[in-house]
Amino acid sequence: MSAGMLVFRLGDLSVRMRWKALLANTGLAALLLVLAGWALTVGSRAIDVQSVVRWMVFHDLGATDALILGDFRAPRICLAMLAGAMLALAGAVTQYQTRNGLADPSLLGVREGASLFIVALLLVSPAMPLALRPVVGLAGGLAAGLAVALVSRGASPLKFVMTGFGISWCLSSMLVILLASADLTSLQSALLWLAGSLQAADWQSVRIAAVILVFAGSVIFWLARHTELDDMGEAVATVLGTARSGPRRSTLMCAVLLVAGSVSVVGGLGFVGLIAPHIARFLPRQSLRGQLVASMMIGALLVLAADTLGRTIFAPVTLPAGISLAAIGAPLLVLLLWLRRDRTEDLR
Amino acid sequence: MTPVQGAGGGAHKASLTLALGFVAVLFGLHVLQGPRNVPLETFPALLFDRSPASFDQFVILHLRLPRILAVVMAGACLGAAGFLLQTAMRNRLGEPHILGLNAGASLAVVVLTAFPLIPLPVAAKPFAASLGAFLLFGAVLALSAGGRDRFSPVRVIFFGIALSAMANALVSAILILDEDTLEQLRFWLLGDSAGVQMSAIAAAAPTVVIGLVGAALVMPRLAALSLGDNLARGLGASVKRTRLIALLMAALLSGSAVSLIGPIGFVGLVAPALWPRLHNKPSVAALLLVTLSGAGLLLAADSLAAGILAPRELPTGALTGLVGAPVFIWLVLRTLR
Amino acid sequence: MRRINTIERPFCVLPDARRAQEVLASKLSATRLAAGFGRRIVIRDVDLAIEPGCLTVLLGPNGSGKSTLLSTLARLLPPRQGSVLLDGADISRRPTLEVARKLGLLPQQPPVPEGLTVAELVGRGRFPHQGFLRHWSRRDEAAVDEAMALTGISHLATTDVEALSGGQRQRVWISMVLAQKTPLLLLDEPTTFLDIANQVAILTLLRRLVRHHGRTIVCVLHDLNMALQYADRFVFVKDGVIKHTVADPKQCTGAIIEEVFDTSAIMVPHPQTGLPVFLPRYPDAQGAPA
Repeated sequence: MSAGMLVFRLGDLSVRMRWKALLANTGLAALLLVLAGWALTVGSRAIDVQSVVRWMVFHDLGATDALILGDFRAPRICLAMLAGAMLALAGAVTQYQTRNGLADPSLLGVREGASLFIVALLLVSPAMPLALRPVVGLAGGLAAGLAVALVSRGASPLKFVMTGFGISWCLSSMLVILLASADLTSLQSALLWLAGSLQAADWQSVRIAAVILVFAGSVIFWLARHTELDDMGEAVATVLGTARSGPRRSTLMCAVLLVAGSVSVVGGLGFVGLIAPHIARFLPRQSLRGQLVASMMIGALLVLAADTLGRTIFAPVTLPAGISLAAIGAPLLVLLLWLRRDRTEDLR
Repeated sequence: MTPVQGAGGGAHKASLTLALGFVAVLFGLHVLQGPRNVPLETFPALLFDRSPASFDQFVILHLRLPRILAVVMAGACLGAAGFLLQTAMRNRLGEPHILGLNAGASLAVVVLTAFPLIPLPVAAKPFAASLGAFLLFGAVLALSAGGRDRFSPVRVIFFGIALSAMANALVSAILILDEDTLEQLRFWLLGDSAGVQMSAIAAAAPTVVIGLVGAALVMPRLAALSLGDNLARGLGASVKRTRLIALLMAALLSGSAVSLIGPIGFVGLVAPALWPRLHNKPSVAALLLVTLSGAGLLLAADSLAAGILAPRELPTGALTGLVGAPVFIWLVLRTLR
Repeated sequence: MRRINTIERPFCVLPDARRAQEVLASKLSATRLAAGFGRRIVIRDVDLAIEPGCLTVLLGPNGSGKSTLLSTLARLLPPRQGSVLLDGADISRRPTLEVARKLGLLPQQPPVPEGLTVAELVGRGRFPHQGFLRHWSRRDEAAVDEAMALTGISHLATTDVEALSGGQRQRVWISMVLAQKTPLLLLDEPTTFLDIANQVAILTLLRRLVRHHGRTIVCVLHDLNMALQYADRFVFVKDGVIKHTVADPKQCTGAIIEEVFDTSAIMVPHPQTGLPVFLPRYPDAQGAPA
C-alpha cells in the first residue's frame, strides 16, 4: 500500500510523504538557495562569492559592499522570492479548488482591483504609509473577486474564467482613465509601482510581505486537507466531513489576500500564479500540500530569475520585473499548456 | 438571393439608415466640439471661400477633420474586423483586441519605430502593422489548433490574452530601453486620436479599402460557412481558403486601425452585438451595418474622451474598454454553456 | 466472481455479534421530511426509519425523488421541513466530521479526480479519521487495505483511477466509502451502467457487508428484480411520497408494482430462489416483442 511513501509515526501523530516528491521539493529548495546566492553577487557592482559569504557569516565587509548587499540586493531578493511564492500559492490553490487550470486570481480581476484601489489612494495621498497599502489593496481585490463571483454565480467554470477576464479588462480601463486624469507629479510614483518593479524594495516591504504570506499561507495549509477533497465533487467532499462552505471561502479569501498583498508591495507581476502550478505538475505526483509547497518555490524561482535577469541583461538600464516576467512567462505558459493540451480540462 | 436574405434586406435597410444617421450626427457634433468655439459660418466658408489666414478654418481643416476622419476609418475597420473574426471562427467573442491582433500590430509598429533597419516610408506603416497582427494571430490560431477541442472560444481567447501580454511586455521593454520611441508613441499606445495627420490617413487608405472590399467579397462564402464546416463543404465552399481570406482581411483592417489611432479594443465586439441575430448571418448588408456601427461607436467614444474632462483628454481606448468589457461579460453569460 | 447460485435466501436479521467481525450500529430516521431544489419541493411527508443491519432499497420510477431522499438523509440537502435524526440527534446540528464517521454516501457518478491511484482515492475515505498531523495511522492503512480486499481491487492499488473500466471504477468508489468505516452506507444507484456480472458482484458484496460486517446499507436501485433478490427491505417512492414499505420480498405484489410504476407486471417466482421476479405485461400483441 505505502509503496513509494515515507510514513513517520509518533504516538497519535503520523506524517506521510512520497519520497520522490520530498526529493523533488528538496531539489527545488536547493536550486532556490543557489539562485539567491548568485543573485547577491551580480549587479551594477559585482561582488564575488567570498565577499558575500564573509558578509553573511562574519558581517565584515567594506562599507560600500555591505550597504549594497544589505540595503539593496538582499531585500530585493527576499521580496522577489516572497512575491513569487505568494502569487504562486494563490494561483495553485485557486486552480485546484475550481478545478480549472486558468483560474488565477491575478488574471481574474483581483490584481486589477487591488491596483485600482491602491493607485486611487496613491493619487489622493501620495504620502500614505506603506503598511496601509495591503489593506486598501485587499479591499479592492476582494471587491473585484466578489464582482466576478456574483456575476458568474452558478455558472460553469468556463463562464467564471471568462467573466474574470471581462472584469479585469473593465478594471484596467478604469485604471488607465484614472491615471490619465491624474497630475503628472503623483503619476510618476504610481506608474513606477504599477509596472511591477522591485526597484524600491526595502526591509519594510519585505516584512509586510512576509507577514501576509505567513498568515494566509498558514490558513491555506491548515485547510489544505479539506481543499484536497474538492476534486471529488461537492457531494463526496461533504459526506467525507468537510464543512460545506467555510473552508472553501476562507481559502479563496486567503488567495485574494495573497494577490492583493503582493500587488501592494511590488505592483503587477503577471503569469506567476498561472505558470508555477503548471510546472509543479511536471514534478513527481504529490499531495496537495506538497504541490502547494512546490508551486511556491517555483514561483519564487521565477520571479527571482526574472528580476535578476531584468536588472543585469540591459544594465545599466533596469527592466521592471513585471515586464521581464511577462516576456519569459507568457511563452513558458503557452508551452506548458501546449504540452498538457490533452491532459487537462483547462481549456474546454 | 434566398428568401431569408430577402426578408432580412428590408430590416437591414432601416437599420442602415439609422446607423448612417447616427454617424452623420456624431460627425457633426464632433466637428463642433473642442476648446475653441468655432462659429457656424466657418463651414460654408470652408467650401466656398477658403482663406489660409482664417484660424477657424485652420482648426477645422487641420486639427479636427483629420482626427474625425481617422476615428471614422478606424471604427469602421474595427467593426468590420470584429465581424469577420466572429463569422469566420463562429465565435461571438472574437475581436481584434481580445484575439491579439491589436497587440501584434502595436508590437510591429513599435519595433519598426525603434529599430529602423531600412528607412520605411510612412505608407508602409499600415502594412507593417497588419503583418504584425497577422503573425501574432496566426500564432494564437496555431496554438489553439492542438488537442481535443480545437478552436474552442475559451482556448482562442486565452491564447490571445497570453500572447497579447507577451507582445505588450516586449513593447514595454523596448519603450523603457529606448526613450525616443517612448516619446513618439506614448499616447498612441493608449489609443489616442488627437494629433493624427492627413498623411497617416492617406497612408492607411489603401489598406482600409482593400480590407473592406475583400471583406465584402468574402461575405457570401462566410454565409455558407455559418452552417458548419461540413455543410459548407457540401455546398462547395473551400472552408480553409475562405477562413484564411477572412482572417487576412481582419488582420489588414485591424492593422490599419492600429496604425491610425493605436490599439483600441472592444469596438469590434460591440458593433455586431448591437444588432440582434447578425452574428450568424453574414452578408454584405450586415457588413455595411457593422462597419457603420463601428464608426459611430468610435466617434461617440472619441467625442466623450475629448469632452468629459475637457480640457484634459482621456485615452479613447480606455473608454471603449470601459464600455466594451461589460458587453463581453454579457455575451459570455448569454452565449457560452 | 460469485455465481448466482450462491445467493442465500435473503431474510432480515440483526447481525449476530459473534458472526459479525465488528458491531456497528447507528440509527437513521426521518420525520415529516420535505426537501427540494429552489422553489420545487421534491419529497414531502417522509417518515422513515432505517432498520439497522439491513439492506434497504429505495425503488420508484424516474424522478420520483429517491435520490433527493438519499441526499437529504446524508445531509447534502437541507430539509425544508422535518428533520433527519442520526442516533436520535438532528443530523444538521451535529459536527460534520462526527457525522462523517457514522454515515457514508456514494453519489451517482462522482467526478473522477485527475492523477490519483486507486489506493490514494480509497485513502481519501479516511479523511474524517485524519488530522493536520495525523496523515496515515496504522488504522488508516488497515482500513484501506481491508476495503480494497473486500471489493477485490487490491491488485489495482497502484493503478491510475482514470485508466480503469466502469465496473472497476465503481468498486474503487465503493472501497472509498468502505474505508470510511461508517456503520451506515448510502449508495445512489451503485449498479447503473454496469454489466450484469458487475451488478451481481456489487450486490453480493453489499449483502455480505450487511450480513458479516454489521453495516446498514440504504441503496437506490433501478433494477427491480435484482433488488428483490438481494435486499431485505423495500421502500417504494412515487411522486415524492413513500407509498409502501415492505419488509419481505415475497410481500411485493403485482398490485404494488402497478401502483408505483404505472405499469402492469406479471409475477413469477425465480426458479432458483423462489423470490418474486416481475415481467412486463404487454397490453396487446402489437406491443409484445415478436
